[in-house]
Amino acid sequence: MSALIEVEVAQVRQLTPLVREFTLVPRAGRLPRFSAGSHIQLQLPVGERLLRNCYSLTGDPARSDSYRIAVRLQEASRGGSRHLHESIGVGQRLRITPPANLFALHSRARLHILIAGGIGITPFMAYVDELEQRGAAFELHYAFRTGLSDAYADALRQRLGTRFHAYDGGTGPALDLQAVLKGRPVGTHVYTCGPQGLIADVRAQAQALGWADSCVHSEAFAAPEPGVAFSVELVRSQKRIEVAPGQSLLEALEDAGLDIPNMCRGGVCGQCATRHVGGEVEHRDSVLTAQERAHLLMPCVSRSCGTPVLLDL
Amino acid sequence: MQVSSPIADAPPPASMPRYPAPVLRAGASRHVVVVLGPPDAAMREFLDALRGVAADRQTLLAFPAATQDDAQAVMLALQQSLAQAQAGAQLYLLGPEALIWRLCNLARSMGLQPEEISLLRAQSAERPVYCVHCASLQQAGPGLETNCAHCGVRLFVREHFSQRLGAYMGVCANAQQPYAKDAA
Repeated sequence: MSALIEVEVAQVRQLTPLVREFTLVPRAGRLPRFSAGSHIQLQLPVGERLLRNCYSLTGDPARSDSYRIAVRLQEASRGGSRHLHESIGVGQRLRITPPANLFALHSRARLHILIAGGIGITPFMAYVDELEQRGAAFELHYAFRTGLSDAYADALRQRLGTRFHAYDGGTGPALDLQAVLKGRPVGTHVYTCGPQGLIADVRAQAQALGWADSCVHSEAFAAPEPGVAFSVELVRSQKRIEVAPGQSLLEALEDAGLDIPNMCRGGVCGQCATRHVGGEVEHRDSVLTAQERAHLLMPCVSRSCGTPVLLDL
Repeated sequence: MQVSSPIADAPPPASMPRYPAPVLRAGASRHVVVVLGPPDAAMREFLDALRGVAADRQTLLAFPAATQDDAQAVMLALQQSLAQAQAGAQLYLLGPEALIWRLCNLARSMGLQPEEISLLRAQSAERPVYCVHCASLQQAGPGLETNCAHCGVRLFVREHFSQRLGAYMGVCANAQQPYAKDAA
C-alpha cells in the first residue's frame, strides 16, 4: 500500500444534525491531486482498535491544499462515524491513504445524470466542480430528508439552478426514475451514489430502457455488515485469528499484523481478494464470480458461516 | 495473411480486428442498422434475424451503392439518425471493412459505447491499406505485399489494423528501396 499521509483537521462544520464536514490539511507539503469520485481511507484509533473508513473527497479536485470529507452519523455505527462526530475537532492529527478512484467520470459521455441518495451526495460535490470546469452537460438529482440528510442542498440549488432536482422524502415529489432516464440522448451516462436499494432501482430502470451496462455507474456507501464471531486459520503461517462480531475479517487480519492490499473496504474493488482452502464462507462482496468464489474471498466484507475458515496466508 | 503458428487455433494478434457474429441486443430500445453496398449472404441472414426480433423498433439506413468515395453522405445520415436516437439504442454497421470503422468512430464520438456497436464485415477479397509513407488510404488485394497506389513504394501489409483509420498498415517492404521501382 502507498505511504500514509499525515494530516490535521483545519475546520469542522455541522452541515445538518446528522452530517459533519471535516477539512483536512497536510502537516507538510501538498496533498496529491485527485480526480472527481476519489475516496481516501481515514485511519481512526478508537479505543484499542484502529478503524479504517473510506470517505469520498467532496472538495474541488483542482485544489491540492486541502481535502474535504462529509461524514454521516450512522445509527448502527461501528464506532467510526460516532467517534468523528463526537471526538474529532480542529487540530486533531490523523492519517489517511492517498486518494483512489473507483467511481470516475466517463470521459466520452455527452450527458451525465447524477443521482444521490442522502450522504451519497459526497462524490458528486467533486463531480460538479469537475463537470463545470469541463463545460460538460450534466444534471443532479438529490433525494434527502430536509433538516436531516440534505447536506449541501441549498448551496447546490443556488449554484446549479435548473440542473438541480431535489426530492424530499418527507414532503416533496418522489424520485421517478423512469421520468429521469427516459428519452435521453445516446451517450448519456448515469451515476448513482446512495443506499443499495436506490442503486438497484436505477440499474433496473436503465436496463428496462435498453441502456448498455457500461453507461450505468454506481458507488455504495457500505461499512461491512456485522455478523457472528468466527475464527480463521492461516495455514501457511500457522496462526489462528478470532474475528469479533462487529469486526471485519480484513480488520482482524490487519490487527494481527498482516498487510493486505485494499482500497474500498466494501467488497467492490477486488484488491483484498484472498485464497481460502477450507471452511464455509458467506460471500458478501459484489466482485467475485461464482467460479472465483470457490477459492477466493473478500475479507473486507465476507465472513464465515460458523465453521473456521482456512486461509492461504 | 497467414503466419504459421506453433499453437493450433492461436488467437489472432491483438493488433488485428475481430468480427464476432453480431449479437442482437434484444433489450435495446431501438436498433439502428446501416447497410453499405449490396448485402451478402451473412448480412441478409442477420437482417432477417433482426426483423424477427425487432421489426417495429428498427431504423434501417441502406446505401446499396455506397463506396469509399461517397462515405460523406452515409456519415451525415448516421449522424442525423444518432442525434435523434435515445439512450438504449443499439447500432449495427454492415458493410466493407474500410467504411464500417469510419462510421464506428463517428458513433463513438457521439458517445456510443463499444458494446452498443456491432460490426459485420462484408465478405471481400480486398482490404483497406494505409501507406505509412504517403498517408494514403487505398484498397488492396489479399496478398502480403502491394504497390502503394499513390507513391508507388512496395508495401508490406502488416498484421496491424488501425481502428481509427479503418485500415491495415502498409510499410516499405524493402528498406533498400524506399521509393517506387521506376523512380530508380
